[in-house]
Amino acid sequence: MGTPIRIRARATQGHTEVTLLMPHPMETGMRKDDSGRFVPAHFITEVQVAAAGRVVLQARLSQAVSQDPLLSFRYRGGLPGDRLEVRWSDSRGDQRSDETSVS
Amino acid sequence: MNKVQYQRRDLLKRAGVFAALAAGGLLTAREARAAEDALVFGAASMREALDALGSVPTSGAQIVLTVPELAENGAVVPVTVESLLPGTHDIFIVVEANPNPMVVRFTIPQGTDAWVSTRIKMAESSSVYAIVRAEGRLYSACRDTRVTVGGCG
Repeated sequence: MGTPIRIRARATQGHTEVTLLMPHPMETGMRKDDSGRFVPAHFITEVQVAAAGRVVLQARLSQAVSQDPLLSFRYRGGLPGDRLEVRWSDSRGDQRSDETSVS
Repeated sequence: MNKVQYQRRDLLKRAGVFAALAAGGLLTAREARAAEDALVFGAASMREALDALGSVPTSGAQIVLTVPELAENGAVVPVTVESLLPGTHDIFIVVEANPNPMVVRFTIPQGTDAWVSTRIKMAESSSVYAIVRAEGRLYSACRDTRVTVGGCG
């Protein structure tokens, strides 16, 4: 479900730099809509990133990560063409997975 | 309640115990992690969150926490954490004044730099903590951020 994860992964000087943008409402459960009713909490809870089949980052998120979570990190090694896979799951049990090639 | 039971309950509140149970083969690492997460992310105060992590962190000069001194929009506050501590395994970002202080945990596998950057929500002006677990011990760094418009509504 949802909008594709935007992934940028670039190998440079022995490292691979990764930036992810995961479109998601990240509702805290404390926001009210126009009719004054609370919008139910709905947020990404787990993120896992694997590069060439190896896990390079794992994260647990709360509702206090901003809407459309943006994560940046870097790992050692990595070559242009490596497959990078990003997977998230959220508090409703929805999930999404997207992949790209390291450039 | 007798003393032994009390100690056991007290001990179980401290999530470091889950790692020990996992090491002893009584829980899988995954179960231990899930048990700790439930306590840490469910905590309604900074103190409760720290209890759930198992100990009070010592302040670590080897943690570089970058967060703006003044955030106009509490809904989007950029935070970057770098740990120079050897054996960094987890990086937590905690906002003391948020209704649930624990914001995010990053687990850093071997081969990944202890450097992460993200954007978080802050309900109001608060101390922001980066807590690092390295070789089983906790360290923290702290910065104060003033928020003009809170980001939880």
